Amino acid sequence: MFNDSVIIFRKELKNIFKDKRTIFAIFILPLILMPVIFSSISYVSTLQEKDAEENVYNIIIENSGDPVFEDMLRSSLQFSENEDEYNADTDLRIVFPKGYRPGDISTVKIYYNSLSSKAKYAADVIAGILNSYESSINQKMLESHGLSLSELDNINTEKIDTAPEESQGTDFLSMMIPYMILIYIFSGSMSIGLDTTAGEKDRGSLASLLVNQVSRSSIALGKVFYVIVAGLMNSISSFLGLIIAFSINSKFFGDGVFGGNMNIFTLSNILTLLVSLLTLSGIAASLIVFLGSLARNMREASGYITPIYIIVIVMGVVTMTMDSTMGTGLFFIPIINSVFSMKEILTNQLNTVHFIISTVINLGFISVLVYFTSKLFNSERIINTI
Amino acid sequence: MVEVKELYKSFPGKKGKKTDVLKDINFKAEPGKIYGLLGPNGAGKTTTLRSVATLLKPDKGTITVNGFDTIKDAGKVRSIIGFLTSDMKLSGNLSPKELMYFFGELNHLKEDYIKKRITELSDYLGMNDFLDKPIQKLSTGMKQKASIAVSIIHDPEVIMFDEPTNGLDILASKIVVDFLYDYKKSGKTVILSTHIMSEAEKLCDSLGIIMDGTLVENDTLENLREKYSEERLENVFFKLASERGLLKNV
Repeated sequence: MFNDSVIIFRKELKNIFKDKRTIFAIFILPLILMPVIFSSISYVSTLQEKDAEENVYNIIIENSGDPVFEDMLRSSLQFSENEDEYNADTDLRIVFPKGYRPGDISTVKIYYNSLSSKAKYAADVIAGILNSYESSINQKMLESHGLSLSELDNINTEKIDTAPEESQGTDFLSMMIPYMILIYIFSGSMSIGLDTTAGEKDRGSLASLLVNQVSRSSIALGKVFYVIVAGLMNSISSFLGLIIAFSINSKFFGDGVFGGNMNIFTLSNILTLLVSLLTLSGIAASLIVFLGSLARNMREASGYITPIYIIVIVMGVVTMTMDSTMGTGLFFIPIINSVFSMKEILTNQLNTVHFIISTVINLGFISVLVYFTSKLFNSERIINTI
Repeated sequence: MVEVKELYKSFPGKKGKKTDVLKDINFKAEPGKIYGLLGPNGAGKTTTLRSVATLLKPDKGTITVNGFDTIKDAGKVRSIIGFLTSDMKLSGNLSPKELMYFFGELNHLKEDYIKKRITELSDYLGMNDFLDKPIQKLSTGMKQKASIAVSIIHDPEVIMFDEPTNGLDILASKIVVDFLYDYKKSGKTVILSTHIMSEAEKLCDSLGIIMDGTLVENDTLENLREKYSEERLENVFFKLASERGLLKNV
């Protein structure tokens, strides 16, 4: 049975490797696309930030009457003071209470347009300056009583990260990578998996396969192997693309992403990560091959797979911000267990029991789907659609 | 030799009711002859061929291919049959040679024998000029030749072609017709399903006419002509269809 599966697997793989466009789309594009996407995000954000910093704002300051505040503001923000009434050209408006005098207990209002990123930036800067201005007033008032602000600052806080040194700063990594891999494995396997099942029905070539001497299980297994490998290569390529993207944009994503934490990529972590990827690819492949075999044609197959893909995206989004160290129960749920296994590996907190449970559950899930797919190839309801 | 005895087949219909697709089908297809299955669309030709090809299980009755039962010895039957449908559209990046090799491997043939068969079939079907070209770049006629080669790579004793000239132009159709004629001459059993009467008249030694799942005629062409006093098979067919009220719905 296994030999026949290998024959089918080899033929399908050969078919894909002879198509330069597919090779490019599945294996090369993620390597290029990921760095391009993240570099673009990083570039545009940096550009916007710089633009906001260098912009000359049109600001109205009402009732301040204290040049100290304006001097402090000018040291952090370039602005021209608008003497006129508030109009369309006004970026921001700072309103002190009428008759304000430094030292009065008062509320200062900052009017800004939240739809403008520049105005939002300036509003944040102004809020910060107002804090400093308050401190300077407080300092003066305390000095008049022979005190200083630092003497009143009697509690200082210091946060100390107790996570293992090699795990520190990997939270972003463990949040983003499993989500991206999950999406890429499913989207990468979808077109290939549906083409080799429902596509074969559309082309009428499945009947030729079924009247041969190979068993139905061999056909199902061969096709699942093929989709696993294609999906896996796609996800590894996406993973490498992400690593390149984060490495070249470490300034934007924070040095913690990779800066000092490349040591999470130990041999055992790489191997366990590969096993997790493999079983996740297996689930995607067996699910897609099953649904593709169940459908009468490509259109119906797309209809079956779309809700599954949406569920997978929801799973990815929901688990993205969840803690990497979760209860054992979650590791009994296929797909979600792979996400959490990856999170554990990427934060260097791999729990062997969790990893074994995930792997066994996922392999069992794949076996069940392969079994049902082989049953489908024997089902007359399906044979009638070929 | 293919022998079909009292074949019944039904499929689940609407509201769980079964629809009888084949009712008491009996015929024999002999070596060195072409047996033609004629009938309008939906008459049951494809279901009959799929049953012989082990893809469908009969509700009742037996089918044997060279003495092997299609249920009990399905594997053996598959090793001695070749099956080609008009729906089969080879595509992809593999060449005819690679596809022939693939199907040879699936039939558990030895490497040397596969290579020998590829050479034989390429010479016979005139495929040498495009043997290594990707299927998707071939013309319809070339693809049809490749489809035939793929379905007979294991040199089957029995071949079943389900409407093989459907959608083909006259030149591509000729390739199929010539091949079927040659194959029969080589002493193999051929079953051809078609609704093209001229094709059946030219090729078939005996004919089975299926209408609404029933084999309404099963005889040689000469006997049918004599029985219905009609020279053309088409008129025999129309008479049978008219008797069953099938022409009213057209």
